[in-house]
Amino acid sequence: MNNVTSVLKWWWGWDSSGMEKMLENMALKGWELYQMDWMGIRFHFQKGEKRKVRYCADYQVAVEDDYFDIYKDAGWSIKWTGGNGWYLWMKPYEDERPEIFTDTSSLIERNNRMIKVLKPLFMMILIIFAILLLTGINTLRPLILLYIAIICLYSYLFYQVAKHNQKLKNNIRE
Amino acid sequence: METSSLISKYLPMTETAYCILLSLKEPRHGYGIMQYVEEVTQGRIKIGPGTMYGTLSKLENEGLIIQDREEDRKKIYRLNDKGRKVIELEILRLKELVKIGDLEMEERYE
Repeated sequence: MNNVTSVLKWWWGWDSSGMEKMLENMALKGWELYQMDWMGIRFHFQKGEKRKVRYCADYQVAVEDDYFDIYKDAGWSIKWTGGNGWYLWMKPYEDERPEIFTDTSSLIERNNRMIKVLKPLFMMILIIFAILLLTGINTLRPLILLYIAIICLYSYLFYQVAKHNQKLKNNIRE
Repeated sequence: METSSLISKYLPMTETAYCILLSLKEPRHGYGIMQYVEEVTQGRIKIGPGTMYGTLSKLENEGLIIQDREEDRKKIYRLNDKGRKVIELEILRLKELVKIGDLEMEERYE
């Protein structure tokens, strides 16, 4: 029997819960995550003990040493660090499924951190797009089409994050 | 800062921020705060590390808490005067709400 397996799972930054659920289901079946690719969509597992594990994804622009200490003291271990600011944490548990974000506003803030990073990139793309349009509308058609596609993708990202945050905000009772 | 502008800027607080500020009457590090809050609320409020890290940075940026010192790389925070003033105002606000709540409910059930 095979002792390793891998799963390809696409997930969007504003809603990591589906990916987390997949990892938790794998852990219940005894598959322990040991590696991920740089994009964070290919997950490699090795056979281990069947157990309840909570996986949580965090997004941070820049963290201080303190960040890791607070998580580790609370019993979490880091499973993966994406070069682009993602941190995947895990914690085995018995009864109550633990969370790294225990109020809605911190989830909204996590999503806002993503937007803050994406915004300047988007502005840059828009500027390059404008230059392309002004200088090479006839000669650079494939490049222009590529930029249109990227702009559509970004707009979709912003729209989804805003929509998801609105949904989260509606849940706040305080 | 004037009382009215403190109120409009920082109140009402989330339960998490309220508990963190309260716990920082004494210098504590992140995990120490988590333990304190779980203990005094008898396990009702558990603050996750993501929320803890985020709220501490936010409270520090807003100038309500300051770093007291560092121990084994761990930052130890405490309330400053502004933070103390804000938590006092929040307690007053909550007291008033509880008072009108009590009055209203007594009337209804007597």
